[in-house]
Amino acid sequence: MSISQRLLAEAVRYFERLSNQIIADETANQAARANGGEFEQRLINRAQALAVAEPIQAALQQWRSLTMACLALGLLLAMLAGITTARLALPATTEPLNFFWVLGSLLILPSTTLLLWLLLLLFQPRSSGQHSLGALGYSLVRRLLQRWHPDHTHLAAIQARTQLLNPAAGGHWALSGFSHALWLAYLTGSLIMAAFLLSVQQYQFIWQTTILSANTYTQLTELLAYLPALLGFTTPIADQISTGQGLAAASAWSSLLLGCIVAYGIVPRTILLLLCVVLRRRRLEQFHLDTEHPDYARLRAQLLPDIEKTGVIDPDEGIPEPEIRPPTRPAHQADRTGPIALLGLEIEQPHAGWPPLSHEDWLDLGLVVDRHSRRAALEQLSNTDPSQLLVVSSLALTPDRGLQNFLATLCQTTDAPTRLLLSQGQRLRDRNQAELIPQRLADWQKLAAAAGIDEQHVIAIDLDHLTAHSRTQLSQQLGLQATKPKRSPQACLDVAFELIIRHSQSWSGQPDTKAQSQLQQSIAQQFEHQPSNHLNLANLNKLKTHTSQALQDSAERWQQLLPLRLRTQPRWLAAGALAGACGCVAIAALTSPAAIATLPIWSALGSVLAAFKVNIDSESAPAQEIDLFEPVSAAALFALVLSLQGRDEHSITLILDQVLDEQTPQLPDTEAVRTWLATLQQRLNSVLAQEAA
Amino acid sequence: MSKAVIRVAVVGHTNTGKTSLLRTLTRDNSFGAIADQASTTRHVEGARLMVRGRPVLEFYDTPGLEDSISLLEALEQIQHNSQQEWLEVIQEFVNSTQAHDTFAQEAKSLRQVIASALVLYVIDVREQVLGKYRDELDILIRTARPLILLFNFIDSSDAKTEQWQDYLSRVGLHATLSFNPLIIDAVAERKLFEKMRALRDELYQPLGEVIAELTRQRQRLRRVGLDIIIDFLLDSAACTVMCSKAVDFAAQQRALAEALEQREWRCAQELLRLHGFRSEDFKPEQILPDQTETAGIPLSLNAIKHLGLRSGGGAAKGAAAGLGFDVMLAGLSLGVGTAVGAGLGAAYTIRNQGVRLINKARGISELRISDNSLVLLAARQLALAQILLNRGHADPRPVKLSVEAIEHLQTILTDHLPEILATARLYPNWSALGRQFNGNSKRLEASKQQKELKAQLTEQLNTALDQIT
Repeated sequence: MSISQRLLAEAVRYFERLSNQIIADETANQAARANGGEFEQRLINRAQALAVAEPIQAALQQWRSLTMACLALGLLLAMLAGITTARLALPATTEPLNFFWVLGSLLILPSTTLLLWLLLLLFQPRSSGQHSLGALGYSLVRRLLQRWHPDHTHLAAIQARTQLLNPAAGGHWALSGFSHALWLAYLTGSLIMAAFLLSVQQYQFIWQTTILSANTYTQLTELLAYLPALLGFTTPIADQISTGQGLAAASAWSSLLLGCIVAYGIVPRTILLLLCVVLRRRRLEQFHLDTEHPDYARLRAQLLPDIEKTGVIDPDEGIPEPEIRPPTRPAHQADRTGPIALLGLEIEQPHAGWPPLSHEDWLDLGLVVDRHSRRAALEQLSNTDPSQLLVVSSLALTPDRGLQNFLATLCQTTDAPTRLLLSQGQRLRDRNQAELIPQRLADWQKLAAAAGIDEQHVIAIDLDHLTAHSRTQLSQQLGLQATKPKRSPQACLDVAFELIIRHSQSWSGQPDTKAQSQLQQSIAQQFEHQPSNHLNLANLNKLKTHTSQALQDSAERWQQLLPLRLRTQPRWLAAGALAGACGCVAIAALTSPAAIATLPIWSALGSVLAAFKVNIDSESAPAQEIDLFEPVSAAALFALVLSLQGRDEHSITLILDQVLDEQTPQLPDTEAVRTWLATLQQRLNSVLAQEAA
Repeated sequence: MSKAVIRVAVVGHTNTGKTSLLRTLTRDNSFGAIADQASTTRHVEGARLMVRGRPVLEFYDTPGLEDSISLLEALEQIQHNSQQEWLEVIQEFVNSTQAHDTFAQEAKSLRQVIASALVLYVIDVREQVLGKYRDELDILIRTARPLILLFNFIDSSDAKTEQWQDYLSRVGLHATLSFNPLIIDAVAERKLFEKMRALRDELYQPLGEVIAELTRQRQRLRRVGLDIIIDFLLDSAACTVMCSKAVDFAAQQRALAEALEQREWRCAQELLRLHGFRSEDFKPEQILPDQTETAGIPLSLNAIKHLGLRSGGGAAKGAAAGLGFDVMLAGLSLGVGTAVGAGLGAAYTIRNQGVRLINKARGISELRISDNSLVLLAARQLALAQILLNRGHADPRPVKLSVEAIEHLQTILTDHLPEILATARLYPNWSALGRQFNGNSKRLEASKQQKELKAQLTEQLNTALDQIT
């Protein structure tokens, strides 16, 4: 990597900057990648491979030639200036010349600038080149080139070169060297002219003083003569200094003059020039591209990728597409008798319970999750003759070949028609993947077909959120009589509302928590034969260990069931909390009365409700007269939700939204309670009628 | 330094996110194919991790294991018949006819596992610890390769991470790590490489380099991203169109607004490319989330001011140069050089602002982007840069800028940005965009002012970026 290569890369970078876009040349990138090396090397290789490299190289070359020309001109001018100075210092006269005056005219300027340069070098080494003659010459070259070629390639070349004037690249040494060279030319011109004049003319050198002693002058001259003498110049001896007359003395004085120019002008300038050249060279060798520069970093991904693809190394040979087996037998359910075989495939127990429907004759093959349960299920299945086989799996599962093979084995094991029920659609929705459901269902259907299950026998019903509608649908699919509850939810609600009215008659003033819980417990009993409500079931395990936390959670959950507009009403919030907390206890007492009896439920319930009431009462003015709204609305809410159970939470909220009013009535007596409950029931009926339509 | 490249196989059940993981690890969203379906990847494809042009690590994406229960049964059958060691059993299986038939996918995975020094097993923690997953782990354990278990979908509401962790620790697998391929998480990535280093000694040194390189890469991306934005801001801020109010003002205004919009789009494209995304990953309409109407970018019409700001500096330079001449000619020019130099220097500066001076006299105005719009543009691009810095390459959704983030950035930037960019407004020829309108200008080089301005901008934008991350 030479400096000119780096310069080219820099020039290309400036060029791209000027034209405001990176040149996208894939062949150049490829060439750079193919040759390998560090990033810098690749940048250079790319720059060289670009089409723009040639004109830029030419521009750089032009710069070089122009610099050379300017340098030559500068040297010539400097030399002329030196000659002029010497001519002016040694005029054509027979008058004796003051030696020190002549010497001063010739050397004061170069020496002063040298001294200044040295001082600058000492105190501000990095700017020692600026404002020097070298800098002046450089800006001259730049202006000229820019005027002649105002295009991007030349501009880029100029900028790249300019960069080499930075101290980091030893720019100050270059500029200083340029100055030294000019002064050297100046001094050489002076020396030549002085030597010429001294050769062809007769000069008399004297020295004069008014205040100094002759002795001082002798010493000064000897001091001055020390270096020239070392270089071999003849110098005036003490006698010649003091008298200063005669031909020999004049010769000695002129020799001293020339010697001084050499020793105090030419020699130091030459040494410094060489030093500058050496230092500049060394700096240039250390000059590297700044590979972390954003402009270069943008190229990094193309030239020095962090990642390289290996491509496909073990290609897909094409798995033989699973052959579609025709359903082994038509589904003559009517002909077949026997239990319905039920198998859960890689799922957890659904919220609807296991088996999910109430039916007398299930053959439960269990939840199959691994090899052993698979074997057990297959064995059990082969030993019985079910009327049909219902396999429950999950839409959230990715249907894979393992599942397919197992389903195929199942189908082969039994003669009974097989159905595949896909649960947990809600789970996909919860993962924000609702849009995935049709695809997932199609994948499952494909898999089922390959396993030998008829496409119509693949049904998606969410057993975690079983609604009345989907329950009927499932029953129909299985050819079961839809299990009619002993009483419809409507009838249950009627009884529940009657209960509320009856209890409210016995209340004189606000009922305590226990009384409210008893009411809710008896309401819950009305719905006992229906599948337990998942809304509360979730809290039951927790109830035994973290009683008040469980109650609080339950209260909050019921509040969440309320439509948004009611959630801003403190009284409805209170009703929700009450329904939730009491309801939790009520249902728990229903399912395991013995266990509940040992728990400190009542005190916990009281404190939880108190906590909620503090929040709520602070917002609403406490009612002075008797108002049964709170316990009645809580119980009504509880009954309503129980009558709607089985639906998913969202649709419950929707129905509540249409049934419940924002205006919360004062309910001072049983009559008001009865009227209000009747209104609620009416609204509910119309909503449900609409839904059915 | 010709060390053997270390092979790492990425395996797991089908549709657990193996290819996603590799996309994000390799910062390449064209790697393989992803879909929420089984057997999306049916071949083995690899990517080499390079450090300074040298390959260090090879990741191999494998087809998902689908029927591990039957596979384990088949393997056990072979083992039962031959009574060989497990590794040999697996080798025998991989070469058997079965491996090209029923278990073609599984065999490809196992082949890679055997050929690899390390195995990354990807787990979808939303699933229960089903028998099929246990059997997969069982088979992998028998290959005797060091295993690292990566938990995917850990942020899902139904994640069963504890269940998984519990099971894995019971079968003696403790090298677990959560990894979300939808984001680039520098910490998680570092942890992954640290774990790999810890498991194999020969990986210690090369992976140390990888970790260092990743840190550098991240810093580089951030720096270059800011640089791209700064270029865009300078281009927009300096862009000035001279127009007299009477003549086709509206047309000029529309043209400038369009040009600025295109320039912004180009900036966004450059950012996308920088981070290894495609332009399709970002929809143009999303770049202007708050501008429902085609109002374009608000512009401002300013009277010309700021003249002769630099003439002082120019004169001093000229004078200094002149002094050089004076000195050179032994003072014979009696300071004429200095005076002439100073004059020339000043004139040079004036020439640059002269056009504007004349225009001002003519009553021509300068049409430019307003300060508020500049701040908005900066905020949008910064928000994009911030998103891209953290976006995993497996994310299938298009990039979306959040209005809140942009508003937040606007409040941060509005204090200092216009002030800093005011300097850029003095130099219409800094803007390549402006050159489109005003014709070419001769002075294009990056001046000292521009460098200083860039440094200030970098600092300002860096601070803003820090504040939102």
